[in-house]
Amino acid sequence: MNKLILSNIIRFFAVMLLQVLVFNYLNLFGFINPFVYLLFILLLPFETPAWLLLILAFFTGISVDMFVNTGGIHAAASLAVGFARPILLRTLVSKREFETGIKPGVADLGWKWFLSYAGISILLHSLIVFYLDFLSFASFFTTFRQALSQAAATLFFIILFEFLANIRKR
Amino acid sequence: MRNLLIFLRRIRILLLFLFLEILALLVTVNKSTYHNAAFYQFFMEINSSILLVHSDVVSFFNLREENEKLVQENLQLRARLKSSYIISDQREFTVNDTLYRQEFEYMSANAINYTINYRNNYLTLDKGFNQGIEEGMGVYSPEGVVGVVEHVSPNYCLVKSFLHSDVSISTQVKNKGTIGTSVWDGINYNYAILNDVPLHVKVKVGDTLLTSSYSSIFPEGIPVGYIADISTDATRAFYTIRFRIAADFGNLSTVYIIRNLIKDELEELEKMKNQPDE
Repeated sequence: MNKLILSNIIRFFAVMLLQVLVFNYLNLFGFINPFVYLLFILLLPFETPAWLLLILAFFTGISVDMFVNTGGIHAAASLAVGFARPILLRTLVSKREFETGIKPGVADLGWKWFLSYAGISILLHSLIVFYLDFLSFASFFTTFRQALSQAAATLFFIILFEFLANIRKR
Repeated sequence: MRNLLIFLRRIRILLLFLFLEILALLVTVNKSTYHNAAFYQFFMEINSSILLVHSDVVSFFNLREENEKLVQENLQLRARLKSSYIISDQREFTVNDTLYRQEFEYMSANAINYTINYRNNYLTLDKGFNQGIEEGMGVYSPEGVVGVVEHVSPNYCLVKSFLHSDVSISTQVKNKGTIGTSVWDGINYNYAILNDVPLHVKVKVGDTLLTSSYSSIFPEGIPVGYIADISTDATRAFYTIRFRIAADFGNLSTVYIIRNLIKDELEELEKMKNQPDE
């Protein structure tokens, strides 16, 4: 159990440093900076109690906000992901029974499961970040397009990280 | 009462979620108040020292490009030196220095953090009130206007970028003597909009836009952008001009902070205008 907590703490700092020192400056195609810090929330163990999940999500989001001066936009979006996560997990794994000690990653549940799980969470997060940022629906479609491309880039990098992590294990 | 407690217990996760979500939204909406909070200043010092790692690495790799920019600027400044001019008319008076009073003072700083992909973007610079920076000072890069200082901590300052919905810059079209207001529309960080230029002024694509003399933040003549596209607005009385922003927001490093030495005097004078006569 302690090992699990420690590995999550290390993952938090690793993902955070990557986000604020590298990915916030990536500017893919001019404006896309993937939100890879979501990986931390996505990979939290299944046993995490719901209240802790919310607090961790809020804390992660507000830390990113501090670095990009966006007030509480990332906090609000990560919080929504944290809130949606248990609901999402219940719907996605309804066919299979949980074994104990299983982790929400590709290694235990396969690519198809991880793609839909990460995809839905990331899309939700990107949409909230972009619409909150513009705070009006005046340019609804421009914002939507930006959110979609942002979500796609984020998903790409998160899958890339999962892929690399799994190569190492084999 | 007991039922109520049971009910509250059942929805406690939802309540926690709503509480934190409202907190996040409050922070988003009252961002400027939040930026002035003491704890934020503390975070800014810590964050900035982490971000310094990034800017040190990046600025090392950008040295060549940065040198090029500074050389170009040096050439422009050298062209303005007294020794670059010849005296064409001996009857002209030599200018007595007491006639001129220095209005603007410049300090250089490095951008250690910036964003471009939000609606309201900020920069962090490595100078703070220990180095004499104050709120409301203008910031520009060798290429053009960058933004206005919003908040100062001991060693760093937070700058509202031109790519921010609250920032508008009084702009003139070079050699046309007309004044408009430049704002960013939030779509592409390379382009912004100039409003309020009347239709009778002859502007054309490619014209240079400069800061006007109406601003007490920026001296006159700093590049703002270059006209890319011209159309008329809905009232058909003014142009709506789309222009390419002069400053390269995707690659900021050395910037200058401007102190207006007579700003206080100006503000005091303009305040008197609003006071009723005795």
